[in-house]
Amino acid sequence: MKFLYSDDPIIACSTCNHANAALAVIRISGIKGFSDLSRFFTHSGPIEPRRVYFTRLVLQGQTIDEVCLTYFEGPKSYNGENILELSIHGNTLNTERIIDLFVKEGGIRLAAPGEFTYRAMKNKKLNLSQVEGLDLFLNANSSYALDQGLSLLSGNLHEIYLELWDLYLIHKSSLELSIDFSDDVGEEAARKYFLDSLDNFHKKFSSLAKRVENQNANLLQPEIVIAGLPNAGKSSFFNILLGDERAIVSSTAGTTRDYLTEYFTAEGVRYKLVDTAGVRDSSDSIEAEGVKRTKKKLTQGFFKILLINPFEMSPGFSDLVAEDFDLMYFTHADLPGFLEARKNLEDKFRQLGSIGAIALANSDQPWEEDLTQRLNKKYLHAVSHQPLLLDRHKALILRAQQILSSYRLLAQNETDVAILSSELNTLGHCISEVIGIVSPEQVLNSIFNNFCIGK
Amino acid sequence: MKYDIIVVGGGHAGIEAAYIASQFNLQVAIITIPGVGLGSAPCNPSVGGVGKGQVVRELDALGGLMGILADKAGIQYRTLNDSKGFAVQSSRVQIDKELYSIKAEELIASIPNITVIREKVTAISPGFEVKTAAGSYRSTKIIMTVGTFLNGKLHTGSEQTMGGRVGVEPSSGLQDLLAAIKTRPQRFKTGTPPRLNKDTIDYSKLEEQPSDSSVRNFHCLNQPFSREAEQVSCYLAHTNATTMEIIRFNRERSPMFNGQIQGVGARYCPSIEDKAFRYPDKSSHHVFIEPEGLNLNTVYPSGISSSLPEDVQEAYVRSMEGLEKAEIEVYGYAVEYDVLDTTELKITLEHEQLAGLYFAGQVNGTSGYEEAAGQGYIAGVNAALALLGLEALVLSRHESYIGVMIEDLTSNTRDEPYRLFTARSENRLFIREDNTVNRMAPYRQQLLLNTSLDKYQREFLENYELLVKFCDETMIVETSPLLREFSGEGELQQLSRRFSVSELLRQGWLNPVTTLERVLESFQLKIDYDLVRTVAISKKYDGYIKRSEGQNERLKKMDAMRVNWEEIVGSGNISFECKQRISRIRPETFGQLKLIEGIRPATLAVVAAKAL
Repeated sequence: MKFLYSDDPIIACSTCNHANAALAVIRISGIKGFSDLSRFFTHSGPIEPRRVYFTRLVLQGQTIDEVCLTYFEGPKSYNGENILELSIHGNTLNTERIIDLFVKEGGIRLAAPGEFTYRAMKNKKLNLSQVEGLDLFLNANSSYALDQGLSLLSGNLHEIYLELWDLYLIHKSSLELSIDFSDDVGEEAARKYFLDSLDNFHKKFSSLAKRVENQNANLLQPEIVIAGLPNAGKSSFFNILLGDERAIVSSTAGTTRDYLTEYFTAEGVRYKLVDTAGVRDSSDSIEAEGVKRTKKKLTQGFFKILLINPFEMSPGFSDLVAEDFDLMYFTHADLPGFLEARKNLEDKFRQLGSIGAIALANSDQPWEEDLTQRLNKKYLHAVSHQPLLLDRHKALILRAQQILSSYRLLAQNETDVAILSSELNTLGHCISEVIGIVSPEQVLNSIFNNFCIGK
Repeated sequence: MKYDIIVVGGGHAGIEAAYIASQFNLQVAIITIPGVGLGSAPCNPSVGGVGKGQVVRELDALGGLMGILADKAGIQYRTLNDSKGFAVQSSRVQIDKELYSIKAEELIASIPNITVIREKVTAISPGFEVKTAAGSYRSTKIIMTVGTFLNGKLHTGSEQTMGGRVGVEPSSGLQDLLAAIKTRPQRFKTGTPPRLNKDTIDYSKLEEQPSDSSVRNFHCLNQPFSREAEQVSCYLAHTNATTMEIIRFNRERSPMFNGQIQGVGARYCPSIEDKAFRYPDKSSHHVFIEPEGLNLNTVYPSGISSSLPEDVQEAYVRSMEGLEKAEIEVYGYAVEYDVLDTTELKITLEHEQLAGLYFAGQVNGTSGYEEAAGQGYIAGVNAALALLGLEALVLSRHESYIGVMIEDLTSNTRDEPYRLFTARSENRLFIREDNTVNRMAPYRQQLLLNTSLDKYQREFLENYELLVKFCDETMIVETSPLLREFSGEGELQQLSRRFSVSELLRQGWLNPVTTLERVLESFQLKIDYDLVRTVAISKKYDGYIKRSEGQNERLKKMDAMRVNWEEIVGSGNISFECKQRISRIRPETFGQLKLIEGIRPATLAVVAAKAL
């Protein structure tokens, strides 16, 4: 984070396109004024802030591009600095050439990840939670994540943290009361304040903690994991869902050695669809590694689908079904003897959850609708208690939850109030860290590392 | 006449300043108002208390006076927070206030290089020349310990007189000579309760609190549990619904509530009027009946200070059980006074603009004899060290309550009189009464005064190391007969089969002091009580202290960050009230900003992000 103390002018492409597009937006921040760069534009006459000008971008008399130019004068800009924003033609080569021009001829350096936003924070345009909210908003994979990002950006969640902080302070002061003022208020009253305020804090905290509990799966990037024994038809299933020949399909068991991922959108939520290697004991070390990765994917997955080929069963199967699957499908329904083979297995595994049958050869069956419905239902359920998505917040709240539960136990038994108070401080540190009072340096590091250039 | 150091004021700050300065062989003068004894106690007749007991012991270990005097005049001893853990336990003694002042006079008189001048100061001119009606005295170091006497005004009902306390004239002259000194725009106020005739109280209706013989004396060279004066009891009375009704009915006659008094009192020391009006739902408040002296016929009813007219005071006092026939000897009153802007003082309590002028005690906006004495010591020792060209003595806030207080005072102003609370310390588990010598000895050694106190401290620390080594290295095995001694106390199975004495002391269900005593007994070792107590309690808290130190390190780093207060005030997303407070204090670091009262975490979060 070398850039923390520098305020040189910086440049980056804010639209971050790695593919050609109609438009791209380049931002230059931290210039003294438009006159610093006016020589690169054919527009003559004054430039009024926050008005759009159509002009040509030139270098030594040669036109580079036709652009729309907007000048934002600080502090009335995104990050409080003077910002020049250029809408250019979005060919990636063009973008690179223009950035290069400003770096070489204009003395402007490339922005580090998150540097524009860092300056916004430095100039108090955004607070820590808002920056995190922005990050979430920009990287959201669902409308829920978008909403939460926006809520953070507008400071709603921050308000909840502050309320929690106030309740913490009240409890903390009840403890101090019993040390410094017990003569004045009396032991009994002091004890009552202590217990009541702890109760109030605990109630408020619990409602927040509910929002981080039971989040084994990553809701920021929910994954649908397809698993099964080798040759169960996982890759075919993967291709059918994507409507694409993405995975290599063959009748040879163990064709897929590592997992493959593709985005899969259902009901406005973008999932990662994961095709895994079939689970079996293999002497092939590469395949064995693939199996290991499959098992890891299964523990992280949001929605897990088990595929069963009723004609090929192996001992590894019982190991696999120990996982908690959301859906189970029998494959190879087009082969003769399918119904009989399936029935044998069905009796055996009825207890495992939903059992349906699909024919992989015919992809226009209503099972797809059923799958989407189940998936969406699970997602809506998962977001219904408003889970917090940001890892930093989740980790801190989980830590606070642990500290709180051991503190509450201590509060019942420990008579040494100085020790109690010292233990309570660790809880306070945790909460103040969520708010962003303590060690923001580390916090910022992790936030800005996750930013894409130009924001 | 010329002196090395002149102390103006002979209260608790003044005598402490003179006493320590005199130890450096300097010529010291105390100029004090005629008619008042040195070290007089116009408020509570007690020394010590939560946080304050630690200050008295710190002073004592540094070679101060208060502990010595308190032991001589102590007539009722008590450990506060007895059941709440060693770290927050504090000693408090009721003093015979007459005896306390007599002993102070005797002790000061016995020091050849202290001269006591009983005259009223009329002016101080640069240089410095201190003028009184009778003469003129010169010095390059002046320590101002003038208490409530800056523009003091007394209130009892609608009666107003000028003065710092009953029967004593105010120091209005001082107001002129200190014209160059910045005082806080807001005056402070303090009050005292009516004093009752001790023979007119029915003690059989009150709860008795006898003196506790297990409280250790303050002065470390004294025998721990010896008592110099006769011991007596305190008694607990309660206000009731009638008491509060009388006060509420007379609201318009209270100077504090009818607007006559403008000064701000301390929230932690409310008058009975405050209690009646601020907490209308509560009618039973504690009233401690404290003896003022063995030969004095008055008692001090702590908890009912008041500036109501005399007839109202009489009525509400007599409404309480046990006080039905109580006679008032001196009526309660409130005092309003000016206080210094202490942010103009250096950490040595020397004024930033007027070199050589030091301020200590209540004039700095503090309350309490102990707080005054602590500042008196710091001003006195630093005036002396400066004269001798030696390095200033600065106590760290992480090692002492005096350090906490001095830093709080000089880095910040507050809206009410300042009192020490243990909550003001970030390092409460360490700043205890039992380890005072460990904490203060390094500072005391810095003064290069080789007295019996220094010798005692050196020996104490050597023996401390030895006993710690014993505790760390002596292993107790499962088969040890010693183990059976503690097995009656439950949960011993939590310990491994072989453990050190130190580990044993850390066990939450054991009292570390009695446990170590029993262990030492079994080894037939006879070791000084103070040492055993210090080691045992230190061992108990070791782990907790290390943990909180880790947290404090992080906080300290954060606190040291520079902030630009002007930028903060100019920012858009900070509340108006926060801005006002910030402009007043002008904090330079994040730590100072955090200390400002009433700063919202939202503001801190904004600044924290910015300060990077």
